[in-house]
Amino acid sequence: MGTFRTCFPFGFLYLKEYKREGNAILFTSFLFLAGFPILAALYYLLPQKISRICLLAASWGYYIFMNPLHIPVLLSVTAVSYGGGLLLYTKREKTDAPRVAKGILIACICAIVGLLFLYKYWNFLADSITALLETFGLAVQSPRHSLGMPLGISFYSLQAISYLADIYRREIPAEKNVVYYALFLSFFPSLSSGPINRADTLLPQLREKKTLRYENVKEGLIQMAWGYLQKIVVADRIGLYVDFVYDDPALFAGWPILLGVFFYGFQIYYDFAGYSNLAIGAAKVLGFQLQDNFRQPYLSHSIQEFWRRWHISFSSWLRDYVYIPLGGSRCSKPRKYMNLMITFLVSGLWHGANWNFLVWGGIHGVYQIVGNAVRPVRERLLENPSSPRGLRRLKRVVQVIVLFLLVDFAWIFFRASDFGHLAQIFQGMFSTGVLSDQIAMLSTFPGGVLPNSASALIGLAAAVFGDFFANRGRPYERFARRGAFFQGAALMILVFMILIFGLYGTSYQADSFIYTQF
Amino acid sequence: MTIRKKRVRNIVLFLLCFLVLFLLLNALLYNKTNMSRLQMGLYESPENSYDVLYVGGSHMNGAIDPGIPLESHGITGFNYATGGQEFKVTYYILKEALKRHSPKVVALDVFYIVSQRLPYGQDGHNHNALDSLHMSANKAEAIEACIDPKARASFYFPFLAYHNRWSNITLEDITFYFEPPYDGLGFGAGVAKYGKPMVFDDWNDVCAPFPPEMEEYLDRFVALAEEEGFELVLMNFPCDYTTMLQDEPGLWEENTHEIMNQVAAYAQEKGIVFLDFNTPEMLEALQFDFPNDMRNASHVNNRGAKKITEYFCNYMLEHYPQIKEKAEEAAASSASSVAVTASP
Repeated sequence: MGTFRTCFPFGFLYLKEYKREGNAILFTSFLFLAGFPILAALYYLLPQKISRICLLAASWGYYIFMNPLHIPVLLSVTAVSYGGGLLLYTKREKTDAPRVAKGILIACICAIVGLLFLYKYWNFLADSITALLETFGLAVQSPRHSLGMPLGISFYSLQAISYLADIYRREIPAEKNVVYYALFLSFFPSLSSGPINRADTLLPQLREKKTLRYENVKEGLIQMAWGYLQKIVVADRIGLYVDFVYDDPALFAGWPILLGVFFYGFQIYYDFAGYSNLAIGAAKVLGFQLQDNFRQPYLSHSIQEFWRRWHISFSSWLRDYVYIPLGGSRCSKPRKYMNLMITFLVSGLWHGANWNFLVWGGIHGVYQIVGNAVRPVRERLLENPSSPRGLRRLKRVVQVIVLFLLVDFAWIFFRASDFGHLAQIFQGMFSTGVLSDQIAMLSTFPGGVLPNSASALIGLAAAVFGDFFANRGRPYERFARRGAFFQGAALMILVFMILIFGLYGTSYQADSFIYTQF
Repeated sequence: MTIRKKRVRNIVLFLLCFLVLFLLLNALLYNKTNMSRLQMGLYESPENSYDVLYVGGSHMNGAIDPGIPLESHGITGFNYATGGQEFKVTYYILKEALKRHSPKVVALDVFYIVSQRLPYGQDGHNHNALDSLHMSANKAEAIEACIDPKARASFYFPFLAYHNRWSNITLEDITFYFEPPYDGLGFGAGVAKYGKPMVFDDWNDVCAPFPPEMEEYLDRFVALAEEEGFELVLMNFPCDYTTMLQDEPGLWEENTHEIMNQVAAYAQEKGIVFLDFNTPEMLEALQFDFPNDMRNASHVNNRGAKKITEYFCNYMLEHYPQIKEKAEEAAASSASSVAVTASP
C-alpha cells in the first residue's frame, strides 16, 4: 500500500509543460497527453460552429504557446490566402478576367513565398554570398537576422499556395467562412509537420456536421499508438546511437559509422512516419480523415515507387504544383529530365536551407532520371512473367534492398551538417578501425549500448513487422476483423512496448542510483 | 447484448486489464533503494515512536546506530539518512518525519553543505530519498525546491524514470514485496577497516562563506526546531578531507574545513549545539582510531559508529533533561518488569 500511495499522486495533478531544448514536441508532451482528451471531449459536446472555433482556438493557442512572436506570420499567410482566394474566385468565376486572376495568384504566391524566403532562406543566402565574397578577399558582415523560423511555415505555406492554385484552376471554390479557412491552414495535428492538407479534402470535412463515431475514435487511437511506437520507441532510440556517431564521426572508424549511416535511414523514416500517424490519428479521433503520408516506402521496388510512398502529401504537392506546371513528362525527354531535376532540387531546398539538402535533392533527381532512362531495361530484366516464381520473388527482394541502399546513401547528405562533416563521415565509413578501439568507443555510449540497442531493435522488429502487415493493404480493416480478445491483446502489447521501451522521461542509469556506501 | 454494450464492456475490460498490468509493472520497475527503511521510519512505525531523529547523508547513516541508546537507556530513535542526500532534501525528509513523530532531539548531519552538486544534486540519489515519500504538499515543495526542472516530472510520476529499468531487473525486485517488514532502525555501516591514517592536518579557525542557499536552509532547520519544539543538534563526522577531495574531485568544496568552521560560528550565534566529531579534540575525546574506525576516507565503520553513538548518547543524557527523564522512565519500567518476573 505504501508503494501504491507513493507511486500515484492522488489528489494532486501537476500539469506542467517541460519544453525540451529548442522546439517543444507536441504529441510527446504532457500538454498534449493531458489536453487532447479534454479538447476532444469539448469538441464533441459543443455545438457545431463553436466546436470549430474551439479547434481554431486550440490550434492558434498551441502556436502562440510555441512562440508568440511568430503568430503574425501565420495570420499574415492566412489573411493573404483567404482574401486572395476570394478575389481570385471572383475574378475567375464572376468577371472572367483571367489575366487579372493570374496577377492576383502570382501576387499572393509571391507574398507567401516571400515570407517563407525571409524566415527560412534569407540567412542561408546571406551567409552563402558572404562566404563567396570572402573567397574573393572581400570581408563583409553577413546581413543575417535572428527572427527564428516560425513553426510549420514550410507546411502551411504550401497549403495556402495549393489552395490558391486550385481556385485559379477552377478545381475548388473559395472558402467564404474565415473560421473554416483559418482552421484548414492551422489545424493543429498537422500544423508543425504535416501532412500537407489539400483544400478539396479538408475544407468539406470542416463544413460537415460532426458526428462522434466509435470506429473513428478507435482507429484514431490505434493509429496514434502505432505512431508513438514508431516515434519514441524506434526513431528516438535509434537516434541516440545515430547522434552518438554523427556528433563526432572523427572518433569512429569502420563499422560503427556504417551502422550509424544504416540506422539513420530507419530513424528518419520512423520519426516522420510516426509523427504523421500521430497527426492523422489525432485528426481521426476528431472525425477528420487526413491523407496518408507514408505507405511503407522502404518496401518499394523503384525510386519512382519510393516517391509515391514517401511523404505522399509533399511529393504529390510537388507533382501537382511544380512538376506538372513545368511541363511534367508531356514534353521531350531532355525537358522532362530537367523538370525532374528542378522538382527534386526544390524538394531538397524545401527540406532545409543548406547546400547539403540541395545536394540530397540533386541526388534524388539523378536517381529519377537514371531510373526513368533504364526503366525499359529494368522491366524487361526484372519483371519477366515467364520467370519462375521463386526467381521473381528474389528479384523483388533484391530491388527492395538496392532501393534502400540508394536512399540510405542519399540520407548521408541529408543528415550531415555541412560538407566538412560529410567528409568526416565518408572518411570514417571507408576506413577500417581497430576492433578493440571501436568497442572501447562504444562503451562510452551514455546509459550503455546494450539496453538502448535492445529496446531499439525490439521496437524496430515490431515496426518492420507492422510495415509488412500494412503493405498488404487496408491494415486497420484487417485488424478490426479479428476477435475482441486478439485486438485487446495486440493493443496491450503495443501500449506496454511504448511504456517500457519508449524514450521519454529522464533516462534511468543504474549507476546514478548506486551510492557506494559499502 | 447490443453492439454498444459490447463495446463498453470491451473498453472497460481493456482499461481494467491495463490498470492491473500497469500497477504490476510499476511495482516491478520501481527502484526500491531505501524504500523499506524509509517507509518504516516515516509511515509504518507507530506514531511518536522516536525520541531522536537522525537525518542527513551517508555520513550520518553510517555513524549513528539508534540501537545503542535504545539498548543502553531505552532512548528510541530512527536514522533516516540516505547516501548522497542533499542538504535541502534532508529538510523535507525531516518535515515528513515530523508529521507523525514528535522527537525531543533531531541530529542533523551538516556535511552536505559542502556538496558541489548544488543546486539540484544527483537525480539518482534524490530519487533514492524522495521516491519513498507519499505525495503531499511537502513532497511537492521538496520537488520544486530540490530537483532540476527538467527532471521534476519523473519525481511526480516516477514511472517516467523507471520505465527504462527493465534491463536492470533482478529477482529481488519481485521478492521485495514478499519480505517481512523492515525491522531495523535505519542505521547501516560497513565493517571494513580503512587501514590508513588521516592525511588532512590543516586545522585552522578560518571561516569561509556558505555555498548558495545553505544558510537559508540552516535557518529553516532552526525555525523548524522552534516551531516543533525539539532540540536541534548539528553534527559533522570524522573525514579525511584531503583524501576525500582527491578521490572525488569536483564533488565537494575545496575549503570544506573552513566551511565547517563557519557552521560552528553559525551555531554559536544561534545558540545551537554543533558536535563536530572531525576535530583533533573530538577525535581524541572519542579515542578515535582513524585507520581502524573508518571504512574509507570519509565514512566511519561499525566500530567508529559505536564510539560516536555512545558519546552522543551520554551527551544527550547530560544536556537534555527530557532525554534523561525518558531514560529514567525506561529504566524504571525495566526494573519493575524484572521485579514482576523475579517475584515468586
